Amino acid sequence: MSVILEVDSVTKRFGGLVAVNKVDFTVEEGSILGLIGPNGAGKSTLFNLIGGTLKPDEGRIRLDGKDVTGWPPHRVAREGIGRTFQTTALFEELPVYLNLAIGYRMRTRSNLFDVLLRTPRARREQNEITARVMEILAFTGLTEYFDRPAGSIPQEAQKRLAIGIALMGRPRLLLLDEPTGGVGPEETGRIIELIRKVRDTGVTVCIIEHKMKMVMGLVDRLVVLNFGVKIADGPPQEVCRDPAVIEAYLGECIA
Amino acid sequence: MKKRLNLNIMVALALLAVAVVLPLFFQRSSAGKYNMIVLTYAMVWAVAASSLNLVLGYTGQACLAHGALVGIGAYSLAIMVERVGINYWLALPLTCLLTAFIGFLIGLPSFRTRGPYFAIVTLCFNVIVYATFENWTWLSGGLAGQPFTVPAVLSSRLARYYFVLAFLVLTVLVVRQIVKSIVGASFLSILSNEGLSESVGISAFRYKLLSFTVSCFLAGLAGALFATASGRVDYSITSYLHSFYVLIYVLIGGVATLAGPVLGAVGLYFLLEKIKGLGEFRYVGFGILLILIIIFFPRGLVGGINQLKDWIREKRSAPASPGEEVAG
Repeated sequence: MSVILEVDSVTKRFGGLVAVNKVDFTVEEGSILGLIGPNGAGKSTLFNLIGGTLKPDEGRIRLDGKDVTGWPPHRVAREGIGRTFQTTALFEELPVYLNLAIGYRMRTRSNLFDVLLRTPRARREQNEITARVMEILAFTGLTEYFDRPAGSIPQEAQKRLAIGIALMGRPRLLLLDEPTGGVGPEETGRIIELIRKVRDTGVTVCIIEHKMKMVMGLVDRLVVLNFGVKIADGPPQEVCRDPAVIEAYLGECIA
Repeated sequence: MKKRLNLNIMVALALLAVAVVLPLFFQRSSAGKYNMIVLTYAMVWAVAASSLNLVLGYTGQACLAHGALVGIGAYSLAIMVERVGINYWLALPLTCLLTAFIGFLIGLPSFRTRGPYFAIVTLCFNVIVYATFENWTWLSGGLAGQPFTVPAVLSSRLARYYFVLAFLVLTVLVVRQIVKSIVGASFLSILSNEGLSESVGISAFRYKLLSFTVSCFLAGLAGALFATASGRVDYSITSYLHSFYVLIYVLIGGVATLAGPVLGAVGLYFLLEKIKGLGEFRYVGFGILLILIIIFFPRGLVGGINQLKDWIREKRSAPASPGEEVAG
């Protein structure tokens, strides 16, 4: 298998605090990688560095061999990295279908004149958008909510919508920041199922998660961060027995 | 949803029919003729308000320079026609393009930053433009202003009324076409959640700049219409007071609605003209009205009507079935 994402000794400092310290890891195409660690370990910071929201002070980030270090978020997204945010980010006042349509904007080329004059391109792309929205509505199981304002649908459906928005632009790599955070145990299952389905369509997934049990059964590999430093990296069962990990988690893992 | 859309279109067509027929009654009396002139100006400001709505209501960027932009449009047309000798019909689109270009130049540095900077930059721009036109009398003609002869076709007040009405309809149609498209959805995405829209490949900078440039194009049109309607332009048109008026028309009429800015501008302009006798006191009433609207109808009058319609529809369609909310 080929490597799709390469994080090469990336460092990020906030003043005197080293939030991410020379972190290295690679993600194989078509796999699910779990990123875990206690609060403040630098997991979300790492996602923001990959997604372009933050720029690393040192190190490189490569997508499929292409150096994307320090690119602005919208360019990183066009290059094929989709993401969700820790606090579920949606276009809350807008209907669900429009939330998804916006996610597909980067794959359309209609400009102002196309939409004003309704050129063939504008009409063709409008149909393309509609088709893709229907597809993702069905894929994420949100069809019943299609015209509801995104902020008004249930928590768990909102989480699936956030994933759906990120999927609209056909990313190669999907970064999910706590996709089941704040969702009850029963509903967590539906989201896990969705993440597996995403992986089965060939999209590589990186996932930040706190629920250890959930991560163990889902991911192919685990990377553990603690105080910005990578302390373990390997298959989940192995990582779990690592003394450094057990110490960081105060034994929570073996339980 | 479809039904409501058709209802909106029907109301819009009805209002348009009224606007088309009104002059027939206005023509009969001198008071009516005066009302027609007031309505012509009101529609000019409705064009300006619709243009502000695009950047403020649909993209979330508060522009406080629409007075200056309308003023630049008005002067640009008058100077092109009177001093440069360009044909009116060529000068009209050139004016819009010039105003759009000026907007583009303002947006270029100011959209590099986020937050309230854009509002501050545009307000400063307006103050500078006003001071410039006030002092450079060679450019503005000072208090006497720049006289302007409109083309023969538009020499009657009635012709100018319909001319402005036609461009108002065109403006609303253009804004509608934009906001219903994927380009408009991209504007809305920036208003709604800038970080998320960046994460799905939308460059907030580019779309803010695009929205503002289009808005300035239409503000330039409003200025050109103002010059055409009045036949004379003086520097008072560039005042930042106009920027605030236009802002208030949009807020009271209803942000992010197509009808709001038009109804807000026409209604308030007309109202202010009618209570002119109250002098400066009318602005006090203006302030109170604004506060009440923001408290009770944060989305303006049209937003309030929509809320009401939603509420009635909910009452009608869902005869309270408790438990559904919990299960769903």
